[in-house]
Amino acid sequence: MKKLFILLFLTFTLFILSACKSEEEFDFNKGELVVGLECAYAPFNWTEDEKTLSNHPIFGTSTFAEGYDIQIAKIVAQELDLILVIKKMEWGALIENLKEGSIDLIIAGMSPTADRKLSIDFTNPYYESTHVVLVKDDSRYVDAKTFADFNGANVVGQQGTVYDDLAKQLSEKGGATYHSALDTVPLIIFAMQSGAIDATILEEPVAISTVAQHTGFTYVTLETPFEIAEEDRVVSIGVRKADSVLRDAINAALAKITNEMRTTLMNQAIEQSPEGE
Amino acid sequence: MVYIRILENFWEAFLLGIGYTLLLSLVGTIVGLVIALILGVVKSIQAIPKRKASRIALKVGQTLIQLYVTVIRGTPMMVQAMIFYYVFRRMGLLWTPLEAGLFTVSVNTGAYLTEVVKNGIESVPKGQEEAAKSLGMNRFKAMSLVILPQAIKTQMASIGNEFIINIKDTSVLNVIMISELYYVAEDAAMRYSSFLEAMLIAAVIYLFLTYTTSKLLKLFENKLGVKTLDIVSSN
Repeated sequence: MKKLFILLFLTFTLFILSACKSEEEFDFNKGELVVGLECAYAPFNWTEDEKTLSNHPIFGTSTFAEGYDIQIAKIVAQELDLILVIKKMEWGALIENLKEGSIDLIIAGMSPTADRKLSIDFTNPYYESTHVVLVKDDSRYVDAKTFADFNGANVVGQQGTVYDDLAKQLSEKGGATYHSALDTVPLIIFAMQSGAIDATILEEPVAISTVAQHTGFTYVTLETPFEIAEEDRVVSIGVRKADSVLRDAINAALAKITNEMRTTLMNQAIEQSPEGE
Repeated sequence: MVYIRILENFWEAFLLGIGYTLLLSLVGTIVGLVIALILGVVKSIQAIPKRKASRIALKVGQTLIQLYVTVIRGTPMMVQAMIFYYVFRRMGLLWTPLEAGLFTVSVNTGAYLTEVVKNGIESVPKGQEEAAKSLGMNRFKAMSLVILPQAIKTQMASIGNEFIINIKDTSVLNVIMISELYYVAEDAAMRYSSFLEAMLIAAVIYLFLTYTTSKLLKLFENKLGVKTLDIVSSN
């Protein structure tokens, strides 16, 4: 009982201390880099029960975190010569926890939106999604390279997503026939199999797994990219506003991760990610 | 205010959605009525033809009509739309979503109105047919000039009701990529994460459409001098 008391007291003191420290800059001498994430947002991050060579223990639990974010976090910690600590928390609590100092970074597949930039800072993107066009592999669009190559194609996107906006873009710029958005990606796949639809727009990782799951599909990357707002396209690491030194150090670390490496890590994450995601 | 933002950015889409909804339900009801008139007449034939071949043809025809009515009335329009559009496309019928939508509503309305037309024909007194024949009309003329006009008149309320039901029920046709009214509302809801507001706007528009339509139908029915139906029931 006494031990428990001491433990509680220590935790409490630690909590107060860390709360006080929030105004201060990140102390590189503490030897730890505490990263907060959800562990439930595949392929960026998810939770595993068994230890593997690539996953990382979640602080205070006997479970492990895995995913693209975890691989990036490990590289960043290694570059800064710090020990990585991963804390699992609700998505909605991430920014609050960062501000009050119980975590040092958010690496959680988070996009740097204008709203979030009001309360925290972001590093350079550590993942940038490319949007590609999914087509049937026996169609005349397999060699398409420009918007104009989709002239006359029937194109549709998923309702309520950026894909629908991009389907409109393909129609406006390339003369494709735009169709009102469908509810789900599987329904779009079905519409393509039936021949009603020739093309749809997907993020490349999603396109890769779609092509792997369904025979008869392939995807093409356009030479001129789609026009997409940055916040729909990239994810960045969240840091406290006071931590400009830490942010610059992370940017230097991220610069060492080549595009090929990012692609490889994302593809691995997609392959490993749990079913249904 | 979310309502203002939705209406500001989506008013054109809503107008287009209303257009599609009215087009689908109006054309669907008219074509459906034509289907129902033909099938209803065949279904109402009670006289037994003298020749054996005619007897068999009538029996087969009436059975097929019954099958059509049972299948269409017994399955949701959403499911029918998916089957008609995608399956027929796979079979080589390269039609557009709108064409498939018009077909679905027409076939649906036809099934519901076949029974209505048959009841209408049966409600016309036998004396009318006999009088027409005594004037020298053949069966076809008696049916199309004397009996059917009266049958339609007595069933006008049910036919109008079917039109109103179609205005509401075409809201499922977004599954085959038709941007009718409901689709537009759903789109606006997702854009602004405001489902309640967008659905309330849709509800008000639907109510306006059905209410004005029922008032117009009432005027028309009064002109014809037939009884009107106030309550709009669903299929």
